[in-house]
Amino acid sequence: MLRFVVARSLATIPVLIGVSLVVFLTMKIIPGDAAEVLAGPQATKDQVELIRQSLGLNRPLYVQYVTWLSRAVRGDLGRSIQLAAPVTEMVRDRLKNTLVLALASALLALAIAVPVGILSATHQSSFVDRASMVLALFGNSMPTFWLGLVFILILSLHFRLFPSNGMHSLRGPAGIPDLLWHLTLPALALCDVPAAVLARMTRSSLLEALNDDHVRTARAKGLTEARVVVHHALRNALLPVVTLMGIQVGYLLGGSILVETVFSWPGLGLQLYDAIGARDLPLVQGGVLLVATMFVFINLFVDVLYAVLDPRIRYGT
Amino acid sequence: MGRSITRRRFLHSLALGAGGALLAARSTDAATTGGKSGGTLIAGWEAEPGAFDNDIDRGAVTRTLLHNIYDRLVDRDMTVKANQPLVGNLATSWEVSPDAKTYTFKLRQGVKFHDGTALDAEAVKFNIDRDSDPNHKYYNKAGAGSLKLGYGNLAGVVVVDKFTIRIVHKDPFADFLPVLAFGTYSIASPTAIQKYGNEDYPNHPVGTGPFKYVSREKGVKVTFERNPDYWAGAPAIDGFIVRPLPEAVTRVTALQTGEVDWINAVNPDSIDSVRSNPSLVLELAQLPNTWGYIPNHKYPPTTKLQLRQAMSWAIDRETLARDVMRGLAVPAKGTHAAGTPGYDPDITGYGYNPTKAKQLLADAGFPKGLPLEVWIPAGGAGSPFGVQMNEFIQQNFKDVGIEAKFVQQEFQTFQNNMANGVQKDVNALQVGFSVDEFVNLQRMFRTDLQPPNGNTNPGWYSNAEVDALLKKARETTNAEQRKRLYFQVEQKAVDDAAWIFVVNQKAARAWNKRVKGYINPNSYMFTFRTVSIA
Repeated sequence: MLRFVVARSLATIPVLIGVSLVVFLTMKIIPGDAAEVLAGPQATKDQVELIRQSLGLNRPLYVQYVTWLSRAVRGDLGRSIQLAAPVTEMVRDRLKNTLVLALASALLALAIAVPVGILSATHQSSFVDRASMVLALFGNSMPTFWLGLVFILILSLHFRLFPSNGMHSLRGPAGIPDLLWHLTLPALALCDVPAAVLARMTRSSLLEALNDDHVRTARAKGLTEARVVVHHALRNALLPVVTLMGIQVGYLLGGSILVETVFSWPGLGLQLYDAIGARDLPLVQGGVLLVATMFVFINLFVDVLYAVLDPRIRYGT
Repeated sequence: MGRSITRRRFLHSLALGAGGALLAARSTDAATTGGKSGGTLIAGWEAEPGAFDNDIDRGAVTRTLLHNIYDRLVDRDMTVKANQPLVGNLATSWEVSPDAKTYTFKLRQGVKFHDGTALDAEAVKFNIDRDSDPNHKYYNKAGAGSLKLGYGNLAGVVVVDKFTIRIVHKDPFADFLPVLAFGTYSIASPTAIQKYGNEDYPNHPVGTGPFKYVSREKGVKVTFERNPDYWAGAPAIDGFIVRPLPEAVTRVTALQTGEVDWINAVNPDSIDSVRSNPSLVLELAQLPNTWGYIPNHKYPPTTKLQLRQAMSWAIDRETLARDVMRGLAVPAKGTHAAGTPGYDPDITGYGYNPTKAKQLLADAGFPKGLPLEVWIPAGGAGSPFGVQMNEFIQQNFKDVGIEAKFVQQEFQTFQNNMANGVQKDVNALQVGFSVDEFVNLQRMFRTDLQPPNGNTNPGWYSNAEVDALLKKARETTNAEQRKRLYFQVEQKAVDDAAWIFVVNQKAARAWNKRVKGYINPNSYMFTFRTVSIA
C-alpha cells in the first residue's frame, strides 16, 4: 500500500511541472506584458523598457521560468499589478472563501443526490424515478451561471428570501447564521451539476447492487426491505459514489468561477475573473497555478482513496 | 488583528459621527436637499477597484473612487452637472506668465492630510518631484509615465514660500491647468509615502479629500469615513462602502433589494425595470467619450479626403444611438461630446446621407465601392456594445459600397498596434477615447506626437495648418482666445474627417430615493460629498 502511495505521489511531480510550464507559457503567449500595463498608456518605449528590465522580463525565457518556479515553490508568486499586493497572500485569503462554498455545495449535493438516488432505485420505473431522473438531467444540462441568475431573480429579488450577493451583510451583524444565509443561493447553484451526476450514479450503482447475490440472500433471510437496502446494498453501491464525489470536488473548485462572479462571492473564482479583466498577469498566473495544483492533488487523493477501498487497484499494474 | 482595529476605529468614528450633531450642522448640503445627516452609503461598483495610488491611471473604476479621498491643485467642480468649471482646489489662486511657461500657485492654508500632517508647498513639490525627477528618493516610474503629459517637460519646481509653489515648463503650456485637474494629479501625503514606500503606499492612501480611507477587504468591500475637517465642509454621511459587483444583473438586483444604495453602469436590459421602480432613480450622464474610427492618413486609400467624408456620411448615427445603444449614446458631431469643457456647439458634423456618400465615393475614384480593413479591439475599455455597433456600421458601409472587413484583436494586442501606428494594409482603427479637455486635441492631431513619440495619434494625421493652430493654442494664455483657436482645430478635424466621429456614450447610474443630494455629473468622475441619506 505504501509503495503504491509513494509511486502515485511521485508521478504527480512531472504533472505539476507540466502544469507550471503551461501556466507560465500561456501567460507569455498572451500579448502585452506587465511592463506595458505598469507603464501606462502614455509611457514612452524607454520607460517601458526600464520597467521591463526592473521586472526581469528581458531575460531568456528559461531563466524567467526557473526564477518564477523556484519562487513559486517557496510561496512567492510575485505582486499583483492592479492591486499592488503579494499574490500569495491574496490568493490564500480568497481560497478560504472558495473552500467554504465548495464544501457547502459538496454537502448539499450529497444531501440531495443520495436520497434521490435511493428513492429512484428502489422505485425503479415509477413516476418518482422518472421525475427525479428528468430533474437530474435538467440539473446536469443547465449552465450554473444561468441557474444562479434565476435563483437571484426569483428567491432574492421577487421573494426577498436570500441576499443576492456577497458573503456577509454590510449592514447589521455578520455571524455564522448570516454566512449560512448568504451561502444558500450560491451553494444551491453550484451543487446542481454534482448533485445530478451523483444522483444518477447512486441510482445505477444501487440498482446493480440490489441484483447482487448477497442482497438476494439478505432478502431470503427475511430482512425488511429498508434494512436490505441500507445495510446490504447501499454500502457497496456508495463506493463509486464516493470516488465520483472526489472528482466533483475538483469541479466545484473550478466551476466556482461562474457562480462566484454571479453572486460576487469573494473567492478565488471572482478574483481570477477580476484579474483577467484587469490584465493582472501575476495574479492570473498565481490563481490558475493554485487551482491546477489543487486539482492534481485531489486526483491523487481520489486515486489513493480508491486503492484503499478496492485492493485490486493497488496490486494492479 | 489589523482588521479588527480598523473596524473598531471605523465603528468608533461612526458613533462619533452619529453623536456629532455639531459636525453635521456644518454641512449645508444636507439642509438644502432635505436629507438628514449620518448613515453609510453603500455603492455597488462594476468591478474590483485597482490599487489606490494617487498618480497611476488604473481606469475610471478606480479613479472615480479616488476622487473622493484626494484633492488636486485645481479641479473640475463635480457638483455641477455639465460643463464643470475649473476651480481652485488646493490652490486658491494662480498666476501664469505671459509665455505660458511659469505657473505660480498660492496654496490653501490650514489644510491637513488625513494623517494630520499639513499641506504646504514642500508637500506639493514632493508629489511633483516624485513623478518627474528620476533622482528623487521616492521616484515612481509608473507614475511618471502616467503623468508625462503634465510633468514630462519641467524646467523646475520651486518652493517660493510655505504656501507658494512655482512650476516652470521648458515650453509654453497654456493647457496646464485643465491637465492638473485630472484625477492622477492628486496630491498625496509625503509622510505616508515615506512611511510605507512606493510599493505599499497604495494600501494606505492618505489625501486631503472629503473622505478618508479606512480599510479594504479585497473583493468584498472598501470602507471610507467622512473627513470631519474637510476644508470645503464635511460630508453629511458618516462614510461610504464600495462593494464590487461585477455581474450587471446582481448589481441591479442588489439595488432593487436595498442591499446597496447606489450603483454605476446599469446594463441596458435593466434600464426599464429600474426606471419603473418607484423607490429608485435612474439618471444618464453624458460621458466625455468619443467613439469612432481613426482612418489611416499615411497609406492609401483612406488618405483621400472624399473617401473619409463618404465614410462619415454613410453612418446612420441616430438609429445607432437609439436602437442599437438604446439611448446610451448620442450622435457625435465632432471631437467632443456636448457638456464637456471642449465642446463647440457650432459644429454640425456629418448627418446620415448615403446618396452623398456614394457620390463622394465616386469622386474619390471608387464608383463601384471598395474593400476596407478595420481593426477593432475585443473587450477591454471602450464600449459594452462594441460588436453590435461595428456590425451595424458594417451594414451602413455596405449600403454605399464599402465592404468593411472588421478584424477583432485582443485588447492588449490592439493597444500595442495602436502604439506603433496603423500599418500599411490597415485602413482604420476603432477607438472609444475619453475626450474632455481641449488638450486632448493636442494629443489627437499633433504631427510631432505621431508614433513612436506618442500613441494618441495612431492614424498619422498631419496638417500644417492644424499644427500651427495647436502650437498657437499652447502659447495663448488668454482662455477665451485659446478656446477660439481650439474651436478652429475642431472644425478643421471635422472638415478633414481626421477621425470618423460616430457617437458619444453615456453612463447609466441609479440610486435609491433615500439617497439625497447626489449630483450625477457629465463625467466619469463624481463625488459623494454632497450626499445625505434620508
